[in-house]
Amino acid sequence: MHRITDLIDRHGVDIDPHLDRQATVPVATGLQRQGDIIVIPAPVVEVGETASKPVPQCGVPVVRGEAGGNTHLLLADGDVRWDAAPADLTLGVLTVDEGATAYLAHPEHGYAGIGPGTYVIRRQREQADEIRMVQD
Amino acid sequence: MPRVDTLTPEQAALIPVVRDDWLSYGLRCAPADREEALAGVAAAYREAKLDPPSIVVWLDSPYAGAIGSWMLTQLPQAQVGDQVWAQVGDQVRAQVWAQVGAQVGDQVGAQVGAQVRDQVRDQVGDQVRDQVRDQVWAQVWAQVGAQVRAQVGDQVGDQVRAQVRAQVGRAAWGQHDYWLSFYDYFRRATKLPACDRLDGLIRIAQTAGWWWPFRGAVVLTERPTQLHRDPQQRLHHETGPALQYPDGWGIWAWHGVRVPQALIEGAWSTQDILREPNAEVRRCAIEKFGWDRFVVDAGLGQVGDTVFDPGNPGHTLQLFDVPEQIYDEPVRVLLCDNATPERDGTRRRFGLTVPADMADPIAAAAWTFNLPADAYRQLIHAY
Repeated sequence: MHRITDLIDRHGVDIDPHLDRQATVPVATGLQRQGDIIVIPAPVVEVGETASKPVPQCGVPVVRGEAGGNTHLLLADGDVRWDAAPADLTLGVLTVDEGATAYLAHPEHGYAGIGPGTYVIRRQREQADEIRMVQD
Repeated sequence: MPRVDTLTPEQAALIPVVRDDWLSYGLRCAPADREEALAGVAAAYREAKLDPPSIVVWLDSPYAGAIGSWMLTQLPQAQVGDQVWAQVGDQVRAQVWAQVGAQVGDQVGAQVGAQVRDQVRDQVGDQVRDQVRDQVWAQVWAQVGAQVRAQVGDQVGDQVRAQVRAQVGRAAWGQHDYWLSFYDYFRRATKLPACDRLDGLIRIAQTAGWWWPFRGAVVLTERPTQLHRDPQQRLHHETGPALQYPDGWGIWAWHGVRVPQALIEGAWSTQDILREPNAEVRRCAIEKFGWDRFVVDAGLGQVGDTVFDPGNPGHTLQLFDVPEQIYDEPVRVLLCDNATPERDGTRRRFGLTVPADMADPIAAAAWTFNLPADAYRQLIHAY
C-alpha cells in the first residue's frame, strides 16, 4: 500500500489541497466507487474478454473532464490493460495482471487502488427529464 | 470546376479547423469589430444587388436590436403601438430610441433580410449541392455544420431568439449563423466559387452579433460580454447571467433551461418553487435549492428506512417520494453524502433522481450504476 503523497510523486496527478495526502490507498479487488464511476469485478458482471491495450505511463482518461469537470485518470503500476468500450453506462474493461496495481486518480476524490483481476468500469446515471449521466 | 467527389487528406484535415473557427466566432465575447462588420455588410448588400445602407445603427444586444429594428419599421408613421411599448421597459425604450432616433431619418425602406441573407443562402446552397457529391455533403455537414449548430445555433442562438421572441423579425444571427460554417468549409477547402458569395455574411459573423438589414439602413448589434456553459456545452451559470450583453440584457440559464433571473440571483424558497407553473423551471429550482433541504421543506414522504451507505462508513442513504405535480415526471430521489470531504471538512449531501418504482435506498443506489441491490451491498470503498 502506498500513501497518496507517494502516488502523486510517481504519477503526477495532484489532488485538492484539503484532502489528506498522508492517507494510505488500499488496493482492493472488490466493488469500488470513485465519485460518479464504479469499478465492478468480473464475477459481479459478465465480462467477455480481458482487456488488451496496455495503459501508458501517462495514464488513460476513463472519463475526460470537460470545462468544470475533472478527469478520472487510469494509471498503471505494472501490467495493466484498458479497452474503452463505451455503451450505455459502461466505459470499458480493465484487466490488472498478477503483481500489478491500477489506480484511478481524480483531483477531488484522490486515488483508488485496484488489484489483480478483470473489471468493468461504469458511470452513474440519474432519472432526470431523460436519463442522464451524473457529472462530478 | 470539377465536381467534388471525395475529400483529399488535406481537405479532410481542414474539417476540425473550420469547425473550431466557427465555434470560436459563435462563442466569442468581445466588442464587435465595427469597421470589419460594416465592410461585410457592404459586401452582403452588393451580393444581394442592393446599395450599401447609408444609415448604420449600432445597438448593444439582440434585445435592443429587435426593438430598434422594429422602431425603424414604424418610423414613416412615427406612431408606435401601445401594446409593444408596454412590453418594453421605459428605460430600454428610451435608451434604444435615443440611439435609433438620433441616427435615423425617415427614409428607411422595407426589411431586406430575405434578400440579403436567405436568398443568397438558398442560391449558394443549390450551387454547392450540384457540385458536391452527397457523401461529401453529408460528411461536412455532420462534422462541421451540425456540430457548430449544436453548440452555437441550438445552445445560444435559439435561446436568444426564444428570449427576444416576436420582435426578432427578420434578424440575421451574425456570430450565431452556424450554417455559414458549412459553406465556409467548402470555400476554404474546395474553393467552390459559389461560396465566395457568402463572403460578406461570413465577415459579419466573424465580427459582430445579430443584425437586421433594411433597404437603406442596417441595425447591427454587439457581441456578449460573458457566456458560461456547463460541461455539456449548455448555457449555465449558478450565480449570474449565463449570457450577457453590454447593455445588461442577458439570459439566465440552468443547464440549458432558461430560468427567471431571480431563481439564479435571488433566493427562491420552497414556496416559490412550488408556485412556479413551469415544470422544467421547477426542476431547475429544486436542483439549485438542493434536494436535501427541499425534501424536508416540502414535507416529502420517506420511502424505506435510512440505511448505511455501502463503502461510505458513517454516512447514510435515504429515499423520498416526489409527487408528479412537483417534478415533471414521477420520480423518487435518493439522498447521499459525497464520499470525499469538501474544503471545510463537511460532506456535501446531494440528491439523485431515480425511477418511481424503486422500493428502498440500496436498490435506488444500485440502479444508478445499473447493478442489482445485492451486488451494491458488497461495495467496499467509496471515494
